[in-house]
Amino acid sequence: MRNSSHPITKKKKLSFTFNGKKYFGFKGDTLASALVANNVKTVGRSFKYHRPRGIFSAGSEEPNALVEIGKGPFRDPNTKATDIELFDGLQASSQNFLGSVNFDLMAINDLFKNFIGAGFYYKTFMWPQKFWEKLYEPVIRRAAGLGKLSMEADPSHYDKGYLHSEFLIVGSGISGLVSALLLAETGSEILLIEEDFILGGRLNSEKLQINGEKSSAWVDKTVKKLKSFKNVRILTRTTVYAAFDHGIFAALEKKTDHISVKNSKPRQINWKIYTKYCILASGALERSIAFPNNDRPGIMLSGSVRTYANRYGAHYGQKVAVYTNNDDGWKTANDLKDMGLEVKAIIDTRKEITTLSSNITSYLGQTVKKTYGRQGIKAIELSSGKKLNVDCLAVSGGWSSNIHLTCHKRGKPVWDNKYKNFLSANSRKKDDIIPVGAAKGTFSIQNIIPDTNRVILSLIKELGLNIPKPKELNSSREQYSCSLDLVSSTDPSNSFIDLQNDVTQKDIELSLKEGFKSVEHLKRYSTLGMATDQGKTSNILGLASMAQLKKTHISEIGTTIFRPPYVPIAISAFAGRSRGKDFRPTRLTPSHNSASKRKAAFVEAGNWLRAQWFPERGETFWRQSVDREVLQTRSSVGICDVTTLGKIDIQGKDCSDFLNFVYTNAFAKLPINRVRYGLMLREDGVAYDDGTTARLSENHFIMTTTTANAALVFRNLEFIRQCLLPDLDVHLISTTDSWAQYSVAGPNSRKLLQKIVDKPKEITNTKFPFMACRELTICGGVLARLFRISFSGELAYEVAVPSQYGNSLFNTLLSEGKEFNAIPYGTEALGVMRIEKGHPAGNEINGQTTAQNLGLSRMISKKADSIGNILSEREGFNNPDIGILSGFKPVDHRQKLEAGSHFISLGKKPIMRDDEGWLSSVAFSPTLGHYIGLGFVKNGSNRIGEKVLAVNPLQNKETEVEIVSPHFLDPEGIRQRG
Amino acid sequence: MARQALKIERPLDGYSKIISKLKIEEYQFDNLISLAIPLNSERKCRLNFKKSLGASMPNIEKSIINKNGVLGFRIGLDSLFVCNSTNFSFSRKTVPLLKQAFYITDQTGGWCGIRVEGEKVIEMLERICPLNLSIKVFAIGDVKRTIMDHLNVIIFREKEKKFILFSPSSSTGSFIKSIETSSRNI
Repeated sequence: MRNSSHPITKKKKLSFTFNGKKYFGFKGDTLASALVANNVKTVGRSFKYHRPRGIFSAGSEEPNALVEIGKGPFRDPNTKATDIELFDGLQASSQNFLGSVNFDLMAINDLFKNFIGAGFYYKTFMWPQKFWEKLYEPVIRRAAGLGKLSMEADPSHYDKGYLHSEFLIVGSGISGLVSALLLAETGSEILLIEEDFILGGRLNSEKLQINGEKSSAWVDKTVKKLKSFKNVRILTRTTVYAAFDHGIFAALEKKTDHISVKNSKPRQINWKIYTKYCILASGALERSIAFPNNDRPGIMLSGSVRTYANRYGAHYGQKVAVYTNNDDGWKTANDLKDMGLEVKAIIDTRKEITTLSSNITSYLGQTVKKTYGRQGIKAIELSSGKKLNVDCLAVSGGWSSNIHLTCHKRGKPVWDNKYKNFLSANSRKKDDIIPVGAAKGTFSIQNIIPDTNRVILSLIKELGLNIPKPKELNSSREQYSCSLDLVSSTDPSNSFIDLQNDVTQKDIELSLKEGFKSVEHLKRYSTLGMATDQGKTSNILGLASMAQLKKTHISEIGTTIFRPPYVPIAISAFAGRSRGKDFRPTRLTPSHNSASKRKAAFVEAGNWLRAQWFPERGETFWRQSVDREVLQTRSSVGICDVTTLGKIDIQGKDCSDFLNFVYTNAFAKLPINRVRYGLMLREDGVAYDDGTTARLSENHFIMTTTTANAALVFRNLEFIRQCLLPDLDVHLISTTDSWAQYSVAGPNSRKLLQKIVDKPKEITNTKFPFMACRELTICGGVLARLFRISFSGELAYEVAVPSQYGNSLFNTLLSEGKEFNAIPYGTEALGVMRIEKGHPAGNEINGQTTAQNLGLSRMISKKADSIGNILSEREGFNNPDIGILSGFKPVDHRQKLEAGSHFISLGKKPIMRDDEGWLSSVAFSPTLGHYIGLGFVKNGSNRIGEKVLAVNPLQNKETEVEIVSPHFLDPEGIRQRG
Repeated sequence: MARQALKIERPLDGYSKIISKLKIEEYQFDNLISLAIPLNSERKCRLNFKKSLGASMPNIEKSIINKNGVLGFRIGLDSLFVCNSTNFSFSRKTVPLLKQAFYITDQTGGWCGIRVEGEKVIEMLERICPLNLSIKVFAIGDVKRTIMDHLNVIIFREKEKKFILFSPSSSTGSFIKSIETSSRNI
């Protein structure tokens, strides 16, 4: 029901649907407050027993009122009705029921409650074992649970961001605002974050006075003042959900969840916050009391009943009772009475107190023994036998400081016996979280204001900042004391400790009986404190129950510590904008646009998009294009963009010493304008990467790496330079992006290049032999680098120009090459030709092979030290029986080879024990007219001509292959030297 | 010799857009070279820098702009960049002078410059830039190397609400998309 004189009724009227029925609320409502105002009591069904459940709290601690909002792919399950800001057209529905929320067929579970307590499933469904995954678990999961996902991609979009502040203030209640006012005056950068959509925290829910005016009016003035500071930034609808080391916090901002017509802005932003100091003004969370059938709709936390009444003018019915173990419950009773409701009674578990209300009937030293009303509370019965008819029961088990964030940094909470509460035990360190107000265990406003002033001023003084003068604030006086009467033991199987997980007092007893005595074990055994509310309202009850059973004090029981996130975070929010094609950046080669125009098929190679092949008219199958490109290149000339290979500029007086150390082979004596193939090992002697390195001058080398390892090799070289050889004068710069590089391969490659270089005679075979390099000019003065190296085994060059000329050079090479029928070729043809030539690539240098496996052991210098040199001498690496890189061809040339096949000697069974190696790369060779492959086979170099089986168990295929030289084509290297 | 001269193609082809009142445009330059300071040669390099560019060599994460409009910035202990976006005859005159003291690598084609400017430029950048861009921390003329949306970026503050972002040319398509998305999302 709604108090018609409440200010919220003057605001815009909003319509929404709940379970398909239309209701009205007002701007400023939450879905929960609007449902309370519309007297909707049963909002959902419980997790396990499918008991009717209603709204229990007024914030993110809500365990019961989990609903689905949105439709189709926008459906968002398990959303707390207490967290949803009402907007026009909101569609919400209950979840976890079969039938309707008011008549749930699965409520049959409730009848068997005594048989299906904690651990029931695991103890019962043990036989037959194979039924667990196929039958039992799916059935149980369907019967119990929360909401359902739409199973469609989330069409909303999300973003991430970074925020920096000197002081992060979490929470904008009285302590947060007092802290912000003081810190703002210091000129420091302040970030004030509030989970709610309005600032003020509990000041909006109370009938308190500050400086003679309503606390909510004081909030408005204070916020206005804070907004006038340039150094203060305020975020509402934002939850700080995690604290990490080094002053890093995570927060989720809800940007458009409250807007009915969605705009193009992101729905939520996941902020990473860097701060020097965090002022934790997160307040406190109220806890319940465990008593028989304490989960009926209409039984709510006392402070929340007060919030709905004072902030939203909303309440269930007219007759209310308050059940409390502390002074705060009395405040609720008084506020409701002032509002005009009939407060039937205050039931306080404490005997020895003075009543805090003169005109409300109170029952001291009593408990609630029974409740009535399945779909909504109708009556309660006290321990004295007195029965009272009520529409709502407000329950208060006291307040717990909200110290989740301090726990994220491993701050183990300590018990405060004065207020029966766990507090943060963090000592003050530079990057520590500093609790203030109720989060610090200070519970009355008249104490919070001076205590927060003291804490913040002390911090300001410690940091040497300008010390502001605190404003005089006179407030109402509040009274708070609390008992530990949290658990009634009259009906343990119906006394709920954790509403979200249907954990009862009986489950705690069972846990203890089964030997799960520590809180960590209790949590895992019973699921106490798990799921979306993370036990915010139930943990203390669980501990109190365990303490009662063990006949010890709650402080002896200890507590589990909270872990991030404080509230559930959608996976999409973690992903942010990094979805689909935007999952990671894409790198394009300089000739990408030209390749696209030629309708090239592209392949991802790391972040790069590389042209895989260039289909021509009439080619309908990739092999047609690839075979043509190979044959055309081998018969005339082909051009391939090889810009993606890593290029590292190495300069300095000591760079030859540096290269001698990083490569297994020597580079110091490499002549200027010459190129050498180099092999790098890891420190454990395993092959790491290979490539060519060119010497342009005495102190200037250009190293190339494989595409895949470019960044890793560069990082490794920097490590060696900075950490292992810091006294060498060596400088490294990645120039992969700076130079566009093209392989020009084939018997006509020299003729083509002579058409573009400014001095054609400089690149004759005599003047520019195999493995030569030099800087020269092309196309009328453009600086270029020419390397005579060959991956294809053909007469070949790689020509590099500054990237800005790259696309133009690609097109020029093709247009100038028309007379030779020059063609572009892609990575597939490149791969085929390197296999034909027997060059190892990523499939062979895969982090599991050594120089010895690759047949490159002679490249390891015996004279000088280099990385991996010593460990490459290991006996196991030099065993004559190791796998050696070899070539393979099918005995029946019509047969296809499969990469990954394992070699088994003829006549042996294909079992692990007889495995002799594997086929690492295969291709159809258009040059030879059959499949060929490279691989590693035991003692391969001495088994040329032998036949073995290539077995592929995944495809159930066996192919007889012949071991041959890995150099299928031109083993003498006549072509590349021609 | 080839019949056609090679044409320069800029990574963003002169891109310029206004999104959410933010001006985003390609920052074009003729030369971008990196200078490496040889071991134990700081003093020699400082003298050479002054002689070559007529301005003091900047300290780490600081920059200078000389009278010819050449921007120099230092991103590490032994590493600087010099960027020439004017008609000044940089390659012919200045580079040979700098070579007398520094190790030089031409990076002109390796980087793409994007200038972003506007009232909400910080709000846009905070979606991708992990650095604290408060004017107190990152002043006008400051420069830093960082990561934005997985990409290596050098950020230079020209004015309070005007920045130049240098990112690798191969991934500049992804980076400009990232900037556009950030601009739309504020």
